Amino acid sequence: MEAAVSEKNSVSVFLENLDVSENTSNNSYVSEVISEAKDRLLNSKLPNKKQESWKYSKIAPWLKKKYCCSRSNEDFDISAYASTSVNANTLVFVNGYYRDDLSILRDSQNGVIIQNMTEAVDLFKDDIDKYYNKAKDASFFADLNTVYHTNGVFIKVDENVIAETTVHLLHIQTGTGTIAQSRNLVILEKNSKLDILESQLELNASDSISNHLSEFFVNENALLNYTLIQKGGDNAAIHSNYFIQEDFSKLNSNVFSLQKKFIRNNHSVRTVGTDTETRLNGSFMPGANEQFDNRTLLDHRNVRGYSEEVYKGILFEKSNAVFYGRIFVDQKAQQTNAYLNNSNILMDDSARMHSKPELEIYADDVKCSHGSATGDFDTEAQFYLQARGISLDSARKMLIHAFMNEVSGKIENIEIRDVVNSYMNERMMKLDQ
Amino acid sequence: MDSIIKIKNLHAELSDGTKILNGVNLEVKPGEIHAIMGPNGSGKSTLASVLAGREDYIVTEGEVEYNGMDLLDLSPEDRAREGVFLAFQYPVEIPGVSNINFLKTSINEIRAYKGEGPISAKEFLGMVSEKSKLVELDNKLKNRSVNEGFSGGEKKRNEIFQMAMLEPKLAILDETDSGLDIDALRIVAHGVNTLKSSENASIVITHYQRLLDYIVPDIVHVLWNGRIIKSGPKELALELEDKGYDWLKKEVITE
Repeated sequence: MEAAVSEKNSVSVFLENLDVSENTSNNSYVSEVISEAKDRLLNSKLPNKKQESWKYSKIAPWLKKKYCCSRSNEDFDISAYASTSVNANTLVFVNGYYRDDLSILRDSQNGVIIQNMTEAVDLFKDDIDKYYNKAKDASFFADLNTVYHTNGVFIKVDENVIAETTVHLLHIQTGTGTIAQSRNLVILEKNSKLDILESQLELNASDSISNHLSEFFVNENALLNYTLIQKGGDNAAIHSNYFIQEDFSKLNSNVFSLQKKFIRNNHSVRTVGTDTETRLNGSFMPGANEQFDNRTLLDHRNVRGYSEEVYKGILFEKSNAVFYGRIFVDQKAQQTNAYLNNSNILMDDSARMHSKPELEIYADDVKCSHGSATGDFDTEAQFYLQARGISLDSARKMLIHAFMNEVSGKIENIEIRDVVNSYMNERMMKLDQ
Repeated sequence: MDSIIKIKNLHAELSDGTKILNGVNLEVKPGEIHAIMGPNGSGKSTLASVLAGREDYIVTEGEVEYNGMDLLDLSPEDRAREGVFLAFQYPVEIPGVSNINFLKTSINEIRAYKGEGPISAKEFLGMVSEKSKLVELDNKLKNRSVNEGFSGGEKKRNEIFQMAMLEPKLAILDETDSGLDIDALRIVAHGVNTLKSSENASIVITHYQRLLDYIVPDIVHVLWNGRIIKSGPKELALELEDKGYDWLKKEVITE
């Protein structure tokens, strides 16, 4: 009993140390959502390794720190960030605050609404009441985001509209001990299409944490292409995406975890419609004393869903990574076809990989497979390349590329693919020395 | 005439101390084809690996002079750049690296080593189309990942294709005949024979005599227990085919 009390206190201590104000809303529904989340938070425990979902990732040290939400008006050149080379409507968030002055809205298009979340709550009340908070779960960080998020973006693509320009959410974290929490809502109406790039970068940030959360609703026959790049500094990132797919909709999600002290991605897809197609892919490259944890859930709830999931990791010296991929097939979800694979290369004996693919199937007419393989770098292939005159250095790079390119190669947008590849190259050059 | 390679009293062992080569002596001159035969475990593949620079083996004694250089002093890639080519017994599959990109990188790194600029796309493609005909390599295979999903015969033909592209001074063919049907064997041998010149040389390692019907050696050596115990003209291979290796082993033991 005493233990429980002290755990409960630890949440209060964490919240007291959080120099951020709670959200309020004029919208009665949103206001209720916030107060429910607050109640749950106060009655929850801080994530800790006794919980199954946090068994292998050491979040505890990050929850002992004090954070404040420093709004920054610092002016800087966003073109220094490679991801801005993608032709896109770029929305810049600094420490979770939207920066109109830094954002670049190149093209406006009829039927593509891009709105600051704070304003959207009033302007798009019907959509907010219909979609807001409907995809997310009730985990600690999701609730934390609900109560304390600063701002975010509301994106809506109308029926039969193909968004011609990529929307780029550029998160920049800066300062020491900051917390950045954006809250985003993306709605693709029937027969629409949208490409989203989200990049999480930093500017002289340390001991900081981010907890961004997005909900995506991919309605009937719509297509969403989503890419996430995570890179930068001695900081922690908790990142949550919740996708809901309706009939005949398609989702391609590609996630690249390249550098941060701590990354935890909670990415889940619920296919409520029939005949959905889902592709979830990821690459992660943790370096020394970094810990990357990718947690995915593919929740098949309806018939004839197709899903394909490939996560690949290269773990360097003294790094640590977790992959937990769960596929759930509801009793109703007959003729589901689901494939999940996680493969990893350990570049050093001191690297640690925890991989747990999981299938939970309640329907009897399904085709599901999952696999996981973790091994050392293929020195036989390396020697083969050397024996053809290719230097040791080039040989290693070629092999690492070949392994990782399988995932970046799945990005359809060539500009985004090139940017991802250049981030990966840069990362590799630093790590593989 | 100067030799291409001169191996003197070569001793090599595994990291656990298992001795595999126990004093190999061999000299190969330009224009020559040498065959190395011997029973399983005699050290044939080890000799090939040591010459190519595989790190699994430690050379404890002896020296290898290649083209006037100390071969053992060179990294595996520098050996290749200097013209040593090992056709692998088990060519490695490399998913995600296309055969063509691999070869282009290889050629360009070799050219850079020699102080030459990168090969032009036109010249490269011309070479690819000419040399792949030599070993009847299917066009589709060139764009596939290196050796991935290739049949045994295709892998071996791909080795000879690479050899044709790189034009080595010294080719070491490690059991290139193993696992080949008669057609593939003929194609591979045709490739090797066509590439033969008065400037280069080959060391053909084989377990069976049948390859030597197609690639005719100048000298046949028998390796046993990590040493060359007998050398002779091509007829020696036929004798081995007839009588096996036991009579030679006895000869050595009674010495």
